[in-house]
Amino acid sequence: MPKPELFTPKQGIPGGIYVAVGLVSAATGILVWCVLSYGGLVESYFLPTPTQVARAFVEMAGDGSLWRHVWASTSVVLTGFVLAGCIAVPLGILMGSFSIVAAAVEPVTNFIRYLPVSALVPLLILWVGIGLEQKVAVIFLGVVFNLTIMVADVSAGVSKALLEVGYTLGATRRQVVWKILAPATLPGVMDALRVNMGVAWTYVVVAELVAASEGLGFMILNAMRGLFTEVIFLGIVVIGLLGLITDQGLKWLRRGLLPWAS
Amino acid sequence: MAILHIDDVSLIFPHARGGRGVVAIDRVSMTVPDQAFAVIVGPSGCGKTTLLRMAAGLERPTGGTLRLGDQCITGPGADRGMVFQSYTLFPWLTVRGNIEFGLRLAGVSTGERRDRCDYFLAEVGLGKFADAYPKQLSGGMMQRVAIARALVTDPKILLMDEPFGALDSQTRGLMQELLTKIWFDTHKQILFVTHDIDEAIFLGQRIHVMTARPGRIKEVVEVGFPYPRSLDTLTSPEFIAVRQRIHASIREEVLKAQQDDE
Repeated sequence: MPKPELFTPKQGIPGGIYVAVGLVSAATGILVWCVLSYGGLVESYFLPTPTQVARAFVEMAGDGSLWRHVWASTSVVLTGFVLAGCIAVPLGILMGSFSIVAAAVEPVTNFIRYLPVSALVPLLILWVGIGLEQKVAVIFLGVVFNLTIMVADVSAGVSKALLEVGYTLGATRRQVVWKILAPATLPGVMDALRVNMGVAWTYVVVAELVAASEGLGFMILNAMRGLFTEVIFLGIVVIGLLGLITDQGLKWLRRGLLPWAS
Repeated sequence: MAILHIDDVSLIFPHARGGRGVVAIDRVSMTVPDQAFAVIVGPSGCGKTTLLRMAAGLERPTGGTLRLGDQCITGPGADRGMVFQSYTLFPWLTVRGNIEFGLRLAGVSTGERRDRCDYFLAEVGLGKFADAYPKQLSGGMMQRVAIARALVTDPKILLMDEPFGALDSQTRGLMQELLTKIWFDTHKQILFVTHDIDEAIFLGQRIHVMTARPGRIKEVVEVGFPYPRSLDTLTSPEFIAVRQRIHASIREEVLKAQQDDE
């Protein structure tokens, strides 16, 4: 058997080696954590041991508080994300294919999308208060501009020839938009949704920065005040896992809904 | 009877700073008689594709008129089917869905849609692939579906823009034979654009040779080989004679264009 080339650019490696390297890499991270924490090299209020984090999980899962936080955050993230999608997907499709829409929308989106959403939080509090709406608004604003621009890119990438075929088959402009442009963007739109779902999760802590009484962001911030570092760790791990689950879900949904896409 | 008249058609791109414009197509006149198989051949950049797109109504001339029968061509329509060089099947529709697309727009009943689709699936030899998605097809198969899709709505003329240009040479040869067979069966009027001289002679009855920029019709060559044509056509002495003549004619144009560039 020839020796596999592991360090050639653009060259695949055997699947077994791929998995093994991934496991070793993850194990190294955990090992360093174990050595630093169990070895007492770092104080436990800076770096809790895996046991402490696991104990925090058992405790909070047992009394149900963890699930309450998970549900609170998930509903905020999903609501904000769905609202953003309802605006961004149609707007992006139009923006990418109608120059006149691009001309109208581009200056605004390109200005706002570089603003950190956290900078808008005080304004949001002023405008929509400190209730659930404010949290949803943070997620919404964090996603909507970026998603619009990504969908616009997808829409602009749809081959003009595809639309022209429609015209030569007798389609009207409206039919070309609905029956050709819209379905042609679907795979790209799904990909853009997936990327921005990840973005939405990264805003969960910012969203729960102010006047929250539940949610994973609140849980983390609250734990910091009491120096419950293991709870902070637990919150981070859970957010990561939820992100992973939604990502896989969207991936699965794309395969199921769009079997024709490559 | 629907004769395609191209009458004194010009295309002049206006100069950016108001100087003299660039003449892309210079007062071209030609007719494609009913049931005829006409070909336009010329060096790249001579405006032959643009001329075809004007016949499809996808582009407008700056001077002159195009008529199909007594109907002035002002925009695209289902009376002129078009096959493009790039692959333009709708990826979200099956082969059947693609072929039936134009019939659906025209409100043809389910039963008739099915019958007409089946007829043309058989004509292009893809009966077994009715339920396949485009991503499962080879390039040659995709172009066969595109031809069926353009023919199924029974247009008055079939416009073809280098439809076999992206195929490997073996597949291209088979597709050319298939097209002469389809034309022999249907006597559907065809205007076919190519830069490939062999392809032009193999396919057409009348070959319009175009000059390099500005595009004009340099000469019209009549070719009398019987249909459906086959490999034997390619090796006949008449074929070689015609080929030599058109080769010399186009070579002159290419050289002229190169001198103009220097």
